[in-house]
Formats: sequence, structure tokens, C-alpha cells
Amino acid sequence: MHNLDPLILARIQFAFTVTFHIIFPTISIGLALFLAIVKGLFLKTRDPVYQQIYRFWLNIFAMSFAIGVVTGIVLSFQFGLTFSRFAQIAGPVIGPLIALEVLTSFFLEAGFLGIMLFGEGRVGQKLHFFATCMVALGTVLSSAWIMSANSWMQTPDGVAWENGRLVVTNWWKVVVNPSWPVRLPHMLLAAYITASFLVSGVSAWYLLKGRETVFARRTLSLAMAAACILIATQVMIGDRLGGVIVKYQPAKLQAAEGWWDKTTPSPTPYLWVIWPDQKAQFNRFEMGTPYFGSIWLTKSLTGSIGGLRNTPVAEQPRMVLVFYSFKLMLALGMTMFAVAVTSLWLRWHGRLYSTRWFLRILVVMTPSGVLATLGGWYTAEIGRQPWVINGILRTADAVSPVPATTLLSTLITFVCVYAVFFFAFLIFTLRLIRRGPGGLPAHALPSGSLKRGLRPEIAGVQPYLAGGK
Amino acid sequence: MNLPLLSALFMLFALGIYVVLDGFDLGVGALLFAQRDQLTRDRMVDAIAPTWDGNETWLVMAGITLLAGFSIAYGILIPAFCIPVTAMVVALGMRGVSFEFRHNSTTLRRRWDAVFAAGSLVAALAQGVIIGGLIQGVDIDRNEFVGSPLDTFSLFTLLTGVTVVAGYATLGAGWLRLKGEDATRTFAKRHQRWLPLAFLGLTMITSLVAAAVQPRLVASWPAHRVALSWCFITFITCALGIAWLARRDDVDDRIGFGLALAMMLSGVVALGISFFPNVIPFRMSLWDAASDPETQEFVLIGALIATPVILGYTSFAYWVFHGRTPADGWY
Amino acid sequence: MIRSHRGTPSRILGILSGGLAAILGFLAFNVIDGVFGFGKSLIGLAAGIATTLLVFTRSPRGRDADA
Repeated sequence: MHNLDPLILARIQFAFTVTFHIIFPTISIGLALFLAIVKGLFLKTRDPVYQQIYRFWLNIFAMSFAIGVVTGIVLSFQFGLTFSRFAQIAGPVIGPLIALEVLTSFFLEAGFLGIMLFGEGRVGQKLHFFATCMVALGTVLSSAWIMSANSWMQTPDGVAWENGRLVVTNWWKVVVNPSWPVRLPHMLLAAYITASFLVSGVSAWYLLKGRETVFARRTLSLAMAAACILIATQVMIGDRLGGVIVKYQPAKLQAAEGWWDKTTPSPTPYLWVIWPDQKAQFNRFEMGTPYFGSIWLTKSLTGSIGGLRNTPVAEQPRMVLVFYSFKLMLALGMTMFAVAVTSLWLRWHGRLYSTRWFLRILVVMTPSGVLATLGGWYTAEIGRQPWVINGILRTADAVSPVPATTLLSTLITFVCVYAVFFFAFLIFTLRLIRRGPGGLPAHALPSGSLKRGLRPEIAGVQPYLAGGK
Repeated sequence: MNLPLLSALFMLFALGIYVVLDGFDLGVGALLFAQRDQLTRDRMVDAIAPTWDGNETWLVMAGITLLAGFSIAYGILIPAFCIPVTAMVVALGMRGVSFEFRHNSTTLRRRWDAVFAAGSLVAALAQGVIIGGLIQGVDIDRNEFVGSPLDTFSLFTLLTGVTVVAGYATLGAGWLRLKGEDATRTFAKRHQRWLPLAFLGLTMITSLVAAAVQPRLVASWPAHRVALSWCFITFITCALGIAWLARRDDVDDRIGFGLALAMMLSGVVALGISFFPNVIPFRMSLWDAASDPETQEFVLIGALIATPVILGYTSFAYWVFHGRTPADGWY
Repeated sequence: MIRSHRGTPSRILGILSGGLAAILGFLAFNVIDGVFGFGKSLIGLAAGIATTLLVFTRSPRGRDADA
């Protein structure tokens, strides 16, 4: 087993556990806000369909939240399991940010989650709404701190070296580091867009099946309207983030755009497909749209940008991975934008709920937000390589002194366990969707009959709504 | 001001709260093995469902305080205990998701219950193994762990593991007696008769073996003999008290749980005192592992402001679900 | 508007021009900040949000009404 490289194993293990983790917070950040809005609408209108929407999505939220929590606990120890030297060097900087995340957010979420899930019959409706808002607030605070920590690794500021460790000289500069003010809204919007497409996709499926019509229409209407606003904002923020990356992490953008030349041709095409040769530092094949590169990246008709050869070879990320992760995010973003615009068009003509081809597209787009978020994170994290803290600490110097065999066995354990989590989540979510909200009585019941309503002996209860199946 | 000491106290505080809070819900999980009846099992899980997430957060708090305040020690201890730590987080994960999955499952609920119980048991065992490993000692060279990840496994650490399981089960039985309806309560009382005594016996044996395994532990005793004696007296009194009260019906159920809390806390305090002033027992002191003062300050100020608020709404969350768990569950 | 009884070529053309329009719209939103500055881009965004809200609140029921 001596030929196993601990660095590669550590990177795979960290990448795997963090990739798996981020899927679930993304969903629960988005669903938490959605639930808070729906609960607020219920309090305002007292329309039982909102209560039905709330209860249906609460169950899926609870599962994704639980997986997010437990895989998050894993991550808080992953720093030591895979990159303990990073923990020793940067712990004094990163640790406090995560500590504040725990103090301001984790406890808030955990404290009010119980009331949100089980407390409906024990506290008043207003307090229940308040608890839901607190959980949603907790998810935002959590993102703020963790994005601060991650953005600091992308654009470190406010620290100095002292005896081989990093010492904070200015906390304000650490927390509000240059990329944080843009990356935080980018991530939050990503989570909200993810939730709106998830929710729309499920509603579209009901509409295609002709089931749960009242529930599905209201949900789809809310989610698609939200998607329109969110995605327009996201596209703007995305460009702004590009500006920050050009300034602080030029190599990342060079790799993401797929150019090697020190100066690209004028006008520069926008590349969509490349087959790069990292060793020879050129593309064996490339295909793009003429002029678009100049327009998009330089905001002029003929401007040029710099390619990856401007970065020393030893400090270059792997282009192929960064390029395709970025293009995945971009392509999905454009598709989601197109879907949002189409939804406005269809809604204006009063055909949003009855245009079958559009509903089918929405069903296919259900996981698009999750995939785009992953694409974005891969661009950010692989694009930062070979650094773990940009310009300060190399990933290779951060790895734990744990033997490769141990890393391999823990990796296999995580893969197996997470596979169980993932398939169980998928199976239970699909089952809940197939069973539908009609199994849940839409009017308020004593002692919050949320989950009892899902058990088979009660699932047969006549749907409260005329629009039910 | 002695910032590292304050950080260490905050870490011990978080660990103490973790041990008693997640202790009772891990204990309830492990006790599922002793319960065949599905309805009672559901009630047992219901008794901890609304609050488990908050309980586990204290573990993250303690872990992250170690990362922030004592980065060097974090970077040594986690690799040293990489196997039990992985086992613990995976086990906590399994039980965490089975909470949700068992509710949505009808045909496989017994399977998810088994996962839940096994997860609770393994997490408790792994925590005990880590404590044992700390007592045994960790091989370090300057700021790096130089031993093998397998060093932590020995008969002694197995013993500490089982001891922790017994402790958590004692807490769990106390909680069930407090929260349970008739069947659950009877079940809890039956186990309250022997669990504290088993915990007491195991702790005695563990302490004796520990003295043999780690001579420096004995060497540190005289310095703290007064405090340690009080811990031992509290521990023994509480154990005997729980076992005795378990037979009686006319006492408040809260007393049994309160005594279990005191028993567990006295154990945590005794361990903390014996390890003091080291963060890696007998190898590295708090001050050698401490991060710079700016970091300590930042965390401590945050903790000082946030902790009272957290305790406030956590108590409120417990209060919302006060009293016995309804016969048909929370939902 | 796309009617279901339209011919295939006209349908493909519709989808393609729709896709192109969406890409151009995406591009427009994307570069608005860099080209016109933050202030004007906020006005653009506000206009987009206003359009959404207008459509959200003022849409006729159309074919959906009898579905």
C-alpha cells in the first residue's frame, strides 16, 4: 500500500465529504426561507392551502436538514482528519469564524428546529411562524460565517506569519475579506434558486399528473415568481464576482475561460468546448462563439484577456476541471434564466399551469440548482489549487500525518455511509412526493399532526381540498 | 487575564453540557436494544426527538473551540484519534438521519431503529475510547502526532468505552423515567436499578486500571485530592441514590434524572481536574498549545455574548416540550 | 405564443429564437453592472423585478382558468 499518496487520498476524502455536505444545506437554506414565506402567507390569508404546502415541504426540509447537520459534524472534524497542518497553521483564523457560526447559528437553528417540526400543537401559530423565521435566519447566519471562512481562504487578508503560524492582525479584514461581500449573496441566491427549482419541479410533476392541482398551482406560482427575481439578481452578482476573481485570483478565471495564450486574439471568441493539454500548455481542440469572449469578459467588441500561461506552471490549477465545472454552472444558469423568462411569458398569457412542454422542462430541471451550485463550488475550490489558502499555504503542505491506509479506509467508510444517506433521502423524498400532500389534512390539527398524517392508516383520509386528487 | 485558561474552561463547559445532554439521548438510543415493543420504542425516540439536534451542537462547539483556541492540540489529537473520531461522527450521522427516516418508514422501521440504537452505542463507545486514549497518552514530537492511529485501541480503552456507555445509559434511563408514560416509565425504572451500579463499578475498575496504565495520573492526584475526593463522594452518593430511588414510586422522577446529571458532571469535572493544566494530558499544556490572544479574545467575547442567549432559547425549547411525552407522540 | 398545431419547422425556429433571446437576456443582465455601473444596474434589476411582480399580480387567467 506504500504507493498510495496520502495527499491525493486526503483531497479526495475532503472533496467527497464536503461535496456531499453542501448539497443538503443548499436545499435547506432555500427551503427554510420558502417555509417561512409560506407560513407568513398562511398567517396573513388563513388559506389552508398554505398550511398544506408548509406541512408537505417541512418533512422534506427536515430530512435534508438532518443530513446537513450530521455531515456538517463530520466536516468540523475533517479539518483534523485530512488537513491537520492546515488546522494548526490556520486554525487561529478559521476556527473563530466557525466558532461564531456555531454560537450564532447552529444553536439558533437547533433550538427552534424542534418547535418548527414538532411544536405546532404546543405553541401558537405566531410563535410557530417565529420559530420558522429563526431557523431561516440561522441558515443565513450560518452561510455568512462559513462563506467568510471560505472567502478568506480565497482572498486572505488581515493576518501575518508568526513562528510558523498565522496570527490575526485585524479581525475586521479577516471577516469582511475582499471576496466575501460578493460570494455570500452569490451562495445565498444559489440556495434560494435551488429551492425554487426543486419546488417548481415537484409541482410541475403534480400538474402533469393532474394531481393536487390547487396545491401544485400555488406552489409553482410562488416558486417561479421567486426564481425570476432571484436569477436576474444572481446573473448580475455573478459578473461582479468575476471582477473580484480577476483581481485576486487571476489563475482561476484564466482556467475557467479555457485560454492559454498570454494575450488572447482580438476579438476573443467565448469558448464552450476545449480539450486542454496541461503539460504542453495548449488546447488540442477548442470551439467557441466569435466576439462573445470580448463582449462578455472585457465589455468591448475587440478586447483581449490573459490566458493561463500568465500564471507560473507550479501555481496553475487543472484547467480541464475548472473549465468544465464553470461551464456546467454557466450553462445551467443560462437554462434557468431562460426557464424563468419563459415562465413570465406563459404566465402573462395565462398558460403557466397548462403548458405541458414547459412543465416537462421544469420536472427535468428539478435538480438543476443543486448541480449548478456544485459546479460553482468546484470552480471555486479547484480553481484555488495548488493553494489551500490562496498565496499563503499550499494544499500539499497542509495534509495530515495520517497513514494512507487509514485515509483509504475512512474514505471507504464515508462513501458507504453517505451512499446509504443519499439513497434513503432520495427514496423517502420520492415516496413523499408520490404520496402527495393530499394525504395530509390541510386544516390545523391539535398537536401538529404532521407526520402522523403520513402514516398509512391515516394517509387514506379524504383530502381536505377540493383540488386534491 | 489568562485567556487560554478561560478558553479551556469554556471548552470544558461545552463538553460538560454535551456529555449530560447528548449523554441522555445517546443513552436512550442504546437502551432501544433492551426494548422489543415497537410502540414503546416509538415513545422512547419521541422523548428525545425535539431536542437532540441542539444537544449534539455542543460537541461541535467543543471541537471548534479546540480548533480555534488550541489549534496545535487539535492538529495532534484528531489525527491521533482519527479512527474513533471517524467512527463517532459516522455513528452520530447514522443515528441523526435515522431519526428522520424511521418516521417516514413503516416497513423498515425496525431496521432504522437498529441503526439508531447501533449508532448511539458506537458513538458512546468511541467517545469512551478517546477518553481512554487521552489517559493512555498520545505520542507527540514537537507539534506533530508521531504514533500510529491504532495506538488508541487497547483493553483499557475498551473498558473506558464500556464505562461511558453505562454512564450514558444511566442518564438515558433517568430521562425516560421523567418523560415516559406507563410502559416506558416501568422500563426505565427497571434499568435504573442496575445501570448506575454498573456505571459505578466500571468507573472504579477503570480508575484502578488507569492508575496502572498512566503513573502520571497518580502523580497528579495529591495536588487535587480535595476536589477529586468531593467528585468521588458525589459520584458514589448519586449512583447509590439512583439505584435506591428506582425501587420507590413516591418520589419525584426529576430527582433520579438530576442525580444522574450530577453523577455524570462530577465525572467530567474529575477528568478535567486530573488533566489540568494539560490540553493533551501529560504532554502539552494549555499555554503551549494556545493560539494567539487575538484569537482567544474573539472567541471568548463571542461566547460571552452568545452563551446566555443560547441557554435562554434552549431552555425555552425544552420548556415547550415539558412534561410527559404524549401517548401518541408529538405528531 | 406557441400553438400546439403549428408545424415542426416553425416550432424549432420558435424554440431557437427563444433560446437566443434568453442567452442575450442573460448576457445583458450579466454585463449590465460592468458596462453601466452599479447604480444603473440596480435600476435595471428593479425594472426586472417590477416586470415579474406585474406579471405575477396582473396576469389574466387565460387557458389556465378552465384546466
